[in-house]
Amino acid sequence: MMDEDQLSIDVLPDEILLNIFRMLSAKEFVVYMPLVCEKWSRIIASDSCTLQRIGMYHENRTGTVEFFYFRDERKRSEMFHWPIDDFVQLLLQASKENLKSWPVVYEDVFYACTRYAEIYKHIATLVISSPLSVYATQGFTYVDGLTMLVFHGVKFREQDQYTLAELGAVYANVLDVIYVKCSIDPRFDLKFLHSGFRCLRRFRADHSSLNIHFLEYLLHTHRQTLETVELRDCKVTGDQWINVLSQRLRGRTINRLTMRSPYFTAKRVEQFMATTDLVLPDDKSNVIIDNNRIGSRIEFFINIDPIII
Amino acid sequence: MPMIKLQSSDGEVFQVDFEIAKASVTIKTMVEDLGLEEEDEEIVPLPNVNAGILKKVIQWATYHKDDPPPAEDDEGREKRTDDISSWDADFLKVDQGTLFELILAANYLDIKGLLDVTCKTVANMIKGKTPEEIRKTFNIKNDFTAAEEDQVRKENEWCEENLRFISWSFIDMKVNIVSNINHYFKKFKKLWYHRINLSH
Repeated sequence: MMDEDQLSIDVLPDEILLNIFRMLSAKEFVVYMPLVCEKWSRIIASDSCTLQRIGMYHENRTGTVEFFYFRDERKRSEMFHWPIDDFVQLLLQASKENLKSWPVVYEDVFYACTRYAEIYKHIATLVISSPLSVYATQGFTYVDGLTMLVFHGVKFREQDQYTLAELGAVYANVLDVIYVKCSIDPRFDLKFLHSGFRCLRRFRADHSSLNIHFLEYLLHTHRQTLETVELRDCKVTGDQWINVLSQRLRGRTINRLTMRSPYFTAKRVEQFMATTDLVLPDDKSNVIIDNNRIGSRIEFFINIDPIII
Repeated sequence: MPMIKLQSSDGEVFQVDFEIAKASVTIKTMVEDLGLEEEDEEIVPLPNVNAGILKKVIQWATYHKDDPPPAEDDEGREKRTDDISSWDADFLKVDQGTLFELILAANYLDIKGLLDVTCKTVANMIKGKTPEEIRKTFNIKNDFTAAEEDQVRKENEWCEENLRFISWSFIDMKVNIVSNINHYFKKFKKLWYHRINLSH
């Protein structure tokens, strides 16, 4: 027992107690510490790394929806451009090695946000890798820091169009939307992949159904906000893609452009490079329009200056 | 070797080798800010540390004077607490009050190594204990009402299940509405085609 006169643990400031709590196992941190007293419960609830500890606590559980938390914008930007084939490995690696990110099952995040009021401010990226039917929109209405949505390996069904539109409405601050290895029925009108997201800044999708009409509608619908489009495994059928860029981006400044398709004609490429319809970068190495017919990949990437209103 | 004079909150003055005192970022900064020189008789006051604790801090810093600078922490990861050296373990065989005072002093003087090892010692006193045992160890008053404690416990245990249930109910409802709309739309379309065919 302690002497009545000696200092008690209560004299330690919150940040030191937190420093001590962080040395405990994730389970002790999440489950036991909040039960000791109101002060300890409050300290843990107010800590921004609590979600990370919850993630670690649940890391051996299998989840259908994964949640990632990247603190800095640079990390999120890197994630946007990850190659398709390595995406899964990179996600797993990020969760294990990157100290600022980890996967947590959807329900746990919902729980964490409900219980620990501070957490939601730090959540920036949501990775959904399950059918959208398991997704309950209501759970994240207050995640106002969310700026990136990643759909990974999701099989989109007809009714998911409505859920996706709802997601766009609920996460009004989402700027970046990424689809990687998703299964989408080509009979659908693929507009639903982006039309709900009103502030769309960067869009990436890897799917063979994406065609020139999709690109045209994307550039038109989000002309005020869109800065980057990256399409892989898509159907770049020929010069029409170049025509659409000339029309839809008239007057805009292109920072980087990469289009690879064996169907481009040399004449049209030449015309485009000399065009005055849009502003191409001074450094022409930033514009790659590749019509090499042998072993050519089909992909499309464009980065344009935003419209400043 | 340059020496520095440190004065504790209760007025005792300690003459310390500056290289050892530099373990404290606070002292180092104070000396630099004050522009103190080797031969200065200036005394650095430390109003938040009493003589007994300052003596122990100097003892710790003297023993660890050749240690490499401590590494940066990652706040989210669990830290090892079983790597306390036997010298430190012996040094920290003190009553709880002294341990907390050492933590406060290490924090005030900004001595990361000492703060780390003292915090690890407290963490080791918590590890593996139930909330009730932790309260007993540190004489913490349980200020939750029975209902509140029950509530926190229940939240931890059952919240996920309840939420899962709520989520599923909500989705079922939504899917039902969508499938009903589809059903009536298809029915309407069928009737409409039927009507057109009839009119032809």
